[in-house]
Amino acid sequence: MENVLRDLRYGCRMLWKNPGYTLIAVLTLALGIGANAAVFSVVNALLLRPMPYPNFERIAYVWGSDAGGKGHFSVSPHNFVDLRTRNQSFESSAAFQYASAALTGGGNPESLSCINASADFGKVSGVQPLRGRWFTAEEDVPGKNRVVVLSYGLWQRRFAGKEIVGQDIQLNGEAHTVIGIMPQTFNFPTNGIEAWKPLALDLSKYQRGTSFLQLMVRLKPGLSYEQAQAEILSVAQQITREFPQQERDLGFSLVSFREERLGDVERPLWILFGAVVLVLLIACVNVASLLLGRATVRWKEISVRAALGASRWNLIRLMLSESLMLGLLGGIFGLLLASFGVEWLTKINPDTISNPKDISIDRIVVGFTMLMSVITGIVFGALPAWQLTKTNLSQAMRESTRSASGSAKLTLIRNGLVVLEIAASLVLLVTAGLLLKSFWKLLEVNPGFRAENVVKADVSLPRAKYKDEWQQADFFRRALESVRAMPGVEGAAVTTNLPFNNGRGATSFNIDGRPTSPDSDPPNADNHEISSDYFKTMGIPIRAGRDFTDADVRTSPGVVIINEKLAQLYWPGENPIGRHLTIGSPQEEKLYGKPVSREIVGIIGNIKLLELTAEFNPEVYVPAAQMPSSGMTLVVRGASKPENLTNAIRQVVASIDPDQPIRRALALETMVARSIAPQRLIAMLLLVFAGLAIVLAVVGIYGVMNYVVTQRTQEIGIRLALGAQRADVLRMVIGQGMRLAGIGIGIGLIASFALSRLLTKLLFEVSSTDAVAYAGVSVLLAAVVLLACLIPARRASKVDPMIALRCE
Amino acid sequence: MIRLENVEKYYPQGLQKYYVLRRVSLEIKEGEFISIMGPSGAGKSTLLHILGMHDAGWEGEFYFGEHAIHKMKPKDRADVRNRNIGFVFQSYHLLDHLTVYENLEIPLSYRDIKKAEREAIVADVLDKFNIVGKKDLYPNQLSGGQQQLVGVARAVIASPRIILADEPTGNLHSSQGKEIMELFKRLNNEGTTIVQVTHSEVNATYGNRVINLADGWLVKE
Repeated sequence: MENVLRDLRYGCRMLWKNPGYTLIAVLTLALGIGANAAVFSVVNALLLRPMPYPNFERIAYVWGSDAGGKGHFSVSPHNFVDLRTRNQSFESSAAFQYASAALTGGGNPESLSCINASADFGKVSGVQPLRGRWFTAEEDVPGKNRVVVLSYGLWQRRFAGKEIVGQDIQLNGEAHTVIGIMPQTFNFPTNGIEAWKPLALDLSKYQRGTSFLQLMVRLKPGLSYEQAQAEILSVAQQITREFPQQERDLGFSLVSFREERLGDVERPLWILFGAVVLVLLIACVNVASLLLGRATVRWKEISVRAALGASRWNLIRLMLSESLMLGLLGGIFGLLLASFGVEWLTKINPDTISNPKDISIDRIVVGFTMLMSVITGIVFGALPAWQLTKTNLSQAMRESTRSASGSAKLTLIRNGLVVLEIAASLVLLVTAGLLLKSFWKLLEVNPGFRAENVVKADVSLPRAKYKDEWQQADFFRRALESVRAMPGVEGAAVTTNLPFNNGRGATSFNIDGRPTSPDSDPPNADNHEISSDYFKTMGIPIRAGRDFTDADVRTSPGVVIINEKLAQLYWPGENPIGRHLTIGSPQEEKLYGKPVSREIVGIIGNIKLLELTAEFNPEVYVPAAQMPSSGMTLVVRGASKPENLTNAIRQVVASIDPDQPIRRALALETMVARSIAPQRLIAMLLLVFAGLAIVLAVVGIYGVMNYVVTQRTQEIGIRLALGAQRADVLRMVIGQGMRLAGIGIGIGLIASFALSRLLTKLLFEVSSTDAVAYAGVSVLLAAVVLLACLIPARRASKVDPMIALRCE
Repeated sequence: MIRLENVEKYYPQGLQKYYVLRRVSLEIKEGEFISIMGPSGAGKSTLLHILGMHDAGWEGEFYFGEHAIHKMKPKDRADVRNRNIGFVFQSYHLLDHLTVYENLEIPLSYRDIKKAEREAIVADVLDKFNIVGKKDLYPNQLSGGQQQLVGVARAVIASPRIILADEPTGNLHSSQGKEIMELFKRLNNEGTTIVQVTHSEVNATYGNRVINLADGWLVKE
């Protein structure tokens, strides 16, 4: 131990006495380690840290699917009850629905993000409230469900953390008793939920096949997902046998809570982590190369120590102590860089990261970074230590140092390091290049509407207050009139299904005159209830027919507008204008007493509804005046800066109903941008890491080539004295560098090709073996290497033969 | 103490061999002070490195006391060397980043001697060589003669039975060289065997035996 401490002390002194070398090495390592620590802090927070729910690995979602278990649909209330009562796999199960609730009284009206969940929701989560309790089965029935559990954040923000359990608050205009406050870490099942209320499902209201619920379950201990999946599929088969018409091709798929929540981020994060490991590898190679470059200086010392009795292990330990010190210094500065990096990461793209507050440099990240620093120190120190301690003592005593540092083996190793560095850089560049190209393609996607200068706000009318659908329609009509009258407003409309608004509503329909065979499913489309001027406000082109007008009301004939996709699917080569289709939703039957046959009056362009990467879906648009809804999104196109309109919209809504809040007032451009935020983040980070890699590689290659020139100064002098031209020398040095680059690029291309399938799922309209990206990156890297060789080559070509020969 | 039998060293040159030492046989007795002399390229330093077990690429037989060095593994040879041999280099080869004290301590630290004992030995040697006042200085703060004094002190610190010195005064001016040679004489008188490579007839007179080499051959004693 004492010897180790002495070696460490000596290592410190060596670093202190060589500040330039130490600074470059520490900075190089800090960049590599810092990038790793920053990305690891995200990996740690999102993937490695256990979720704050007891035995969370037993929590799962059950989705509706086809009979084969494929699909990802909502579940019907009947199926929820079927599953709950007919299988043995679940310890507890709960259905739930995302909802919003207007919180009024004691401050400005506020729209809360809520979950309406069945009684066992708390049991599924496994978490007890911080104060109070969860709702009971007795409270999960219509009429008795006026209770609510609040999030910690809402409790602190709205009620200043005062005792509130047992007191009433006004939600949607009705008194609800607060029965519990959840802990601060409770974000179940997703972030941002502020209140949990009983679902109070009235099964008699729903037909089989009407699906709108999400289902979460807690599996019994010791049960595998495969066993549970097999059982719920067999339950689905039973249901299909019992209700062959309504429950045709029914299935369920079980997806773990973790996968559901992290499935989309897991692969990109591991790829990012792989990228920073490559950056660190390049940094290590650089420092190893630097250490080997110091062979001239160290050779004598190492040899003298060996002559004085040091064993090889003594010498390796001494050298590793120095590299360990460098690694640890790199780690400390790396942590500093990482803390800035994490701050930057969480600031630039909070929407991509589900819970930015969780991402921090905690003990685990510090521990990981220090471990990585030690490993790094050993990795880059081992090779030079091994090589330099192969001492030839008689050479040391004769002071022959040049031969040592310039030995063929050392040169080979240094060349090998350069090749490795270039290959690793190429892999990173190819990955970044492919993802950038993919992102570029995403940016080029036309969503089918013009998002600029459009702002939206969700308005959810409480049904207790607005019981009558026509009352709801009147509210939105008045709101639209006021908004349209505002200065700077170019258009305003309402819709139930705004693109990129985190949701979609689909409906089945029948084409009049084309009966659906009992063996096949009816046609299906995304359903929008909209006001007049919606297409104008959104900039969606009308391809044929007309827009809805103020004359399309409850008492006028039923009308519908479809999109091109639907027209092509069901009327290929025909003009669907004037044809009829019937949606026949329960809501329609409630309002009109029968399904309404609607005439197709217009065809509009296709739009992207949820993701730019998705295919176009068939869409149907129905006038909101004919199919009112309590929850609508107000969209307003302004002359400029739509954000300025948000307050005006809030005031308009408040002027109609002072207790009515608006939710999620946002620019449409922001919403579209958020939908590609993960791709933007990963492309941007990879670009940063690839840039870092290329800078490190350039520095490394420059260092090696510079060293080579120094080593060959005498040879170059002799060549020049023997008649070589400056250009010959230039060619010789550049040729040496480019040969290494060629080998490195070759190996890098093979490695990139081998790793390409990992990227396939992340790419949009770009092949993971895209020849243009591979070729472009190779040329770029070759050009950069050429640049790095140029300065040493020019220095070589300016060698004065007289001076070079006299040196020796 | 040391016996060499037909020791040869050569470098391959194509199909030929370039001999640096040819059939060298010699015996060194405990307590001797030997000077190896000869023109440049005669093989003096090579012979010294073989005696110091720095060089393993030779043929012949080499006995150090009861040890048949030519039959030993490198690790065992290093062990024999560490226990018995001290070195003095022409260019001192003090470690630049270590103080005089630390330079002296190094050979002891490689022999697993405990810290307290090391401190005592170093203090003793500093005192014996009269360099206590310089113990915290770095080599570049010393004159050439002082550096070589430290070099010799470092060579003797682990109490070797033999000191091998390769032109120990080569880089010193005459008065400094004389001091070092007198130091060697004193060490020899105290019982340490000394083998030096030298070009200097004067330095050779400090010893009691001279070995002459020419073209790798031992020509006369």
